[in-house]
Amino acid sequence: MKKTLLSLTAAVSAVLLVAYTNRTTSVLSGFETGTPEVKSISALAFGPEGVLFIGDSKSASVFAIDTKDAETVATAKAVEIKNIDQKIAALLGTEAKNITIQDLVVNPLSKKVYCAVQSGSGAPVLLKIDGDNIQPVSLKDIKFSMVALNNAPAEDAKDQRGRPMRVWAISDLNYADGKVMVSGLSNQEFGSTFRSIAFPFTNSQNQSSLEIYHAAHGQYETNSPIKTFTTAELNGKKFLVASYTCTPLVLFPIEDLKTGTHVKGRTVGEFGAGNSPLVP
Amino acid sequence: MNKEVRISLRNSCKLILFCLVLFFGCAQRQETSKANLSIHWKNGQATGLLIPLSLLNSISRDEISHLVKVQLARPGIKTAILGDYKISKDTLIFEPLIPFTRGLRYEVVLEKELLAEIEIPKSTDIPTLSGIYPSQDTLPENLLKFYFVFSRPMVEGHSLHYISLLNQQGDTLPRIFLNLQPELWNAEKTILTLWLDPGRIKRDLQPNKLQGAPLTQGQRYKLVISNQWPDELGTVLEQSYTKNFVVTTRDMTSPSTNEWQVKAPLKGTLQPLEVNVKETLDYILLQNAVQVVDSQGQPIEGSIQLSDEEKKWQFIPLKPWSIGEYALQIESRLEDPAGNNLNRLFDRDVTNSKNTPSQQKVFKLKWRVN
Repeated sequence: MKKTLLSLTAAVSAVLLVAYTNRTTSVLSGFETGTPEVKSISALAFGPEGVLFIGDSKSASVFAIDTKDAETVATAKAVEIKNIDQKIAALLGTEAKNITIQDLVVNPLSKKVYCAVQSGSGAPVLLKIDGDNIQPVSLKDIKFSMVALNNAPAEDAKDQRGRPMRVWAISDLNYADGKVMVSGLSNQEFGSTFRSIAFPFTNSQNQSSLEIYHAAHGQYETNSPIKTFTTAELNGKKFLVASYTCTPLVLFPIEDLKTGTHVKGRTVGEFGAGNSPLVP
Repeated sequence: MNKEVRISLRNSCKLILFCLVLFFGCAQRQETSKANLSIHWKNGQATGLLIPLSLLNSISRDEISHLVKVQLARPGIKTAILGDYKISKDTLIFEPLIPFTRGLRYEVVLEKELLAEIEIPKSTDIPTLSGIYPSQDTLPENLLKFYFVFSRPMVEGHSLHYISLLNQQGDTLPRIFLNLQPELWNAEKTILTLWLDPGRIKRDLQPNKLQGAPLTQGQRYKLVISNQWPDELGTVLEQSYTKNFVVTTRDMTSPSTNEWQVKAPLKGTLQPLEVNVKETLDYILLQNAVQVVDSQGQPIEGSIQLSDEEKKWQFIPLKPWSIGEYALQIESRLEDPAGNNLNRLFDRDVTNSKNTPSQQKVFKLKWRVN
């Protein structure tokens, strides 16, 4: 009897321990339930557990939403939708010239495609594409978390003279190794901002902002904005692979990206004239 | 033959009569349909369609949202528009995911039967282009950007469809501008920042080597903005716009605040503080990166005016000037039209030590009201 009781206690403890561990390790544990005020969708990226990051330039924020689409599918089915802009426009009751497809990402777990659409009227729409089926992803009463980007508009907001405000347009967004990385373009100066934000988001702003240079053939250097980027591991070292508005592909060791530093990257390639990577 | 004609004429009369009956019948029905539907407006946008339940008499309330659909009234494949249906008293309200597009027609269909049709009226507020900057008509070969200032919020995402650059032979030049998504608009969507392709401006990059800079010294150009550019409500620009300019040498010098001339106002007046910045500088940054502070470093409230092709900067205070020390505080991000800022050149030659960028964030110019 004693042995049975001990076994039972051990089993219950193990279950509780697993439950506790699962609870504390889930990135969703700090999420709140509500309707995030997403004003624009500039870029999308998937994180762990079906979390979708939405880069919102207009509210200078990154939202992390629980898509509840975390069931693993081993292989992705081929998706081929012709005239997708016209199909999406018809679903939205407008013409293709009034919409822009801002970004497309694939959920690494479910292999479903998520698509951000901006309409002429300014309203952002998030769609999920499963085969031929295109459905809206509702942002009402969902689990989400958000972080405001610490940037210049906050400083500009102090201004009382109605001067034009600076907007940092989010040009790309990626998630790797517990960090959300965001590149931004200014609608004013020709400059680059790159932020690395720890995820899950915390109340304290744990993000770094960098200025990044690249040089052409080691001679001409520009503090140019990053258009799109990804991360890669080369010879056991982690790198940021960035594509610039002026076409080079540049490598930066991730360990060098520290708060407030001016980092210089190594140009490893160039796209030919008129070419530009959508996603490297 | 004649007989056939007679028969055909008699049939034609019947056909005309039938058509007239059909026409008046349809017209009456269309009017009824129009009268029955109404639009819900919010900030000038049609955000909902109100459909009286009396139009849907034959079906139960539970079935309505499954059987009724709203779609674009146009030939071809019909697609139900995404949105929410809800019933409020005796009305079915359809709220589309994005507002209806003004100028387009929509229809309400019950299964395959057309119940009603409605057009969302176009906006009567016509947008205009109030300025293109730099406003100079002589621009450097390494010009980096234009600003387009509109009277109303414009549609985003398709700007390059409506902007073209023509050479002096009247040919449209390809790949002059950088196609960026998202486009660089201010929050109000009234100012667009458009970069000329930086890869062609920056020395030694492939696009620069193969295609050369977007602009060539000594050439004349015409910038054309199409009158087909719609605002966010779908109303197109009042007219087309053009800007003619000639291109001069590369600007390879950072702006220097040491050369600025400050003309101080008189005490007790609301006279503007006048600053001659000596060269055309960035239209938006002149308004955003320069401010007036008192001797304690506190900002003085007032408004900024630019004139003389963005070479003259004026500040009109809200309150009369007091005697004392003031300063102009200029952020280093202030650029000239070629993207050279107070600290560094757009494209610096790292082998030339004279070009080493400064790290100074703010520049100050002191002046006094006596």
